[in-house]
Amino acid sequence: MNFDFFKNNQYATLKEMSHLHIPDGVLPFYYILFSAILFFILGIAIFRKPEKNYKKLPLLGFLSALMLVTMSLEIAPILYHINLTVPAGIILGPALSFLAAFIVNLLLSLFGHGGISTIFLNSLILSLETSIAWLLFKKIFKNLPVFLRGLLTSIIVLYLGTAITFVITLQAGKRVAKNQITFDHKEELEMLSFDEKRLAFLFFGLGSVGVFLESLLSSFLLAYIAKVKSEVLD
Amino acid sequence: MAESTSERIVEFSCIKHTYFDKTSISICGLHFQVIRGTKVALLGPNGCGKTTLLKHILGLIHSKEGDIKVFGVNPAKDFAKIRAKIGVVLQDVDEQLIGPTVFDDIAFNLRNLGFKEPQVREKVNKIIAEFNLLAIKDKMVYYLSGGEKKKVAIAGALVHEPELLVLDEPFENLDYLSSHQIADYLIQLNKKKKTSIVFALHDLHLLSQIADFIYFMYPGGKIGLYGPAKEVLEKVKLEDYQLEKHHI
Amino acid sequence: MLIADLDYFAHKNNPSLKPSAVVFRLVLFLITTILVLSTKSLPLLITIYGFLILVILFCKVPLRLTLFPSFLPLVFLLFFLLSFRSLNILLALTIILKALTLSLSTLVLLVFTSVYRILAVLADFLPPLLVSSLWLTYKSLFILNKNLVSLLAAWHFRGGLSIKKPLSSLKNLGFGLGFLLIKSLDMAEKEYEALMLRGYNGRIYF
Repeated sequence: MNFDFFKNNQYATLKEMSHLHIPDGVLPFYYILFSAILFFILGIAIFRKPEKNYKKLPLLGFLSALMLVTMSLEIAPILYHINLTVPAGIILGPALSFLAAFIVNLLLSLFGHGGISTIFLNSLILSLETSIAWLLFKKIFKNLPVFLRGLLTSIIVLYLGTAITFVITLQAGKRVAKNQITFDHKEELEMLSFDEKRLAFLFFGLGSVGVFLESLLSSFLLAYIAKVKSEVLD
Repeated sequence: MAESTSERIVEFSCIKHTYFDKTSISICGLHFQVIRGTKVALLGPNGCGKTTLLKHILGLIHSKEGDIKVFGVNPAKDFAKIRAKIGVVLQDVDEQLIGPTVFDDIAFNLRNLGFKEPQVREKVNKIIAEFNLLAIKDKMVYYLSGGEKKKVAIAGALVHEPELLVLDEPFENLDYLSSHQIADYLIQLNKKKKTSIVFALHDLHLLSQIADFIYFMYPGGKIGLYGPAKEVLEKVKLEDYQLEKHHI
Repeated sequence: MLIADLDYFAHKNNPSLKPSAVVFRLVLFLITTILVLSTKSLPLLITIYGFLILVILFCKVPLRLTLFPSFLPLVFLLFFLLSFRSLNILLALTIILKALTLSLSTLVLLVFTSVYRILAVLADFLPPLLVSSLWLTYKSLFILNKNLVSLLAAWHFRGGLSIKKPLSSLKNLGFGLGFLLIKSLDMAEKEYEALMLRGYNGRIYF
């Protein structure tokens, strides 16, 4: 089948900014090590009684798969990919979305999206986003209408993710700049050439388009669920 | 076939369940029972509660009122005690096929029941041969056609030689030959091993071939007709499928 | 869907793969990953990348399954590199090749070794909950992809998505995805019922 509106584009060009996609091999090793240790500690703490989660495993499987499958939808021509992080986080809750974040990132990196060295870091950030989404939607904004709840939650969570990504990318950029100094032996120490403002424009300027679209989409999605099967959001 | 007075492995009188969307189904009317060694069919219009009844038998839903017994226990509370005696084929097989390959999926129940691996292989290979699944034995379940999935699900339900088979639309998606082959297999299974079968089916031709007894359910869940298959099929009319006739 | 295509290619061309062969490939992949992550040597990166390309060409693997998708990280990479006012070209190439080599190596692994085979080998070492989650997610991908195709068809035939009506289209898109999500919830419930009926005890057997 050939569908005009959607290019079922496997070779996605612009990725949603709340996912950490700094290149492999530029993060300091201790970022990778500490994120892995923290990830395993949290994992053991959250799932110390695995049998308690059997009931929700199929839900975890389907929602993780849904996140992956919908990522293959590209809204042309703005080249933005659908991401169901916020709705999935609201439905799964903090514990299961921790595992879902890891599974999604693992499968994404295995299928060529990169970020194999940042899986744990990426998973921690994504699970932080989903947990905050759950908290905002279900507890803090619970008295607001669903659409508005979804909109505010999505905007806050997506900007938070973008901000964390920005900070870490900045560290990576500075590290690469330092490497350039040692690599080249010619650059002056004060000539750290990583442009923070340019990066900030790319993340928050261009990224805002994605945040806006994603937030609207999530809100409509949540409004639909509230209408059809409201107990899911309770 | 004369109804024997032997063991009742499934029975209830009136059970009620309320779904999440507040839809309430009371399965009442005639006393429902399945005698060991018989093949009992559920017939009725869409939405009359056939699947709900089967879910009660499988312990998937609790009855708010009334008491149901399967092999003498309440399945909603103690299904683990009777799991080894029951084989199930649900209407949607996509979700039922768990194992990665056809072999793994058929072996899934046996492994969970604690069978040793050589025994597992023997039983699974035997049923694979009986169901002509050899060509797809190592195929991933998500690559199977709808009919193949159904066959694999049925094989998986039979591999541990259950005493009771519960089937919800077992012949959906199957071609004519496959449906009749499996129908014959079930009839032989019942003859040789006295396996009891409870099934929901729309295909009246197959139903008349397989079933010993039929329960006809009216819209709203009332069990209105019961008897030997041929008699019930002669009594059921088209208007029995209509909601208006039963003031629903 | 790329995942489905890779899986199909891996199964079709390697229908029976011994566990030892899978382990060998995983070890090779691990060595490649560590090498690529730790090295600063551009010639080494070029060699590894070139070797992977040769493997793809020699084994006649479709480029649409390996090489083209491996360029995905380039987008974010370019944003990252564009943030430098001045960057040594060799360093830039090193960074680019690191990302592309890793991306390509994962795809080369999967085009020859399906996820099922990898899980079958790792199942004994990983926590059963993780193995079950991974398998159930992977299996669900194929079911959901079918549903998504049906949804796309419905949008195509029934309209509701048009670039001329962005807000209305976004709303319909949200509703369609909401429908898919609810369908997923229903399927998850049925899958859970099947797991319990079939005696699931925390392990998926491979």
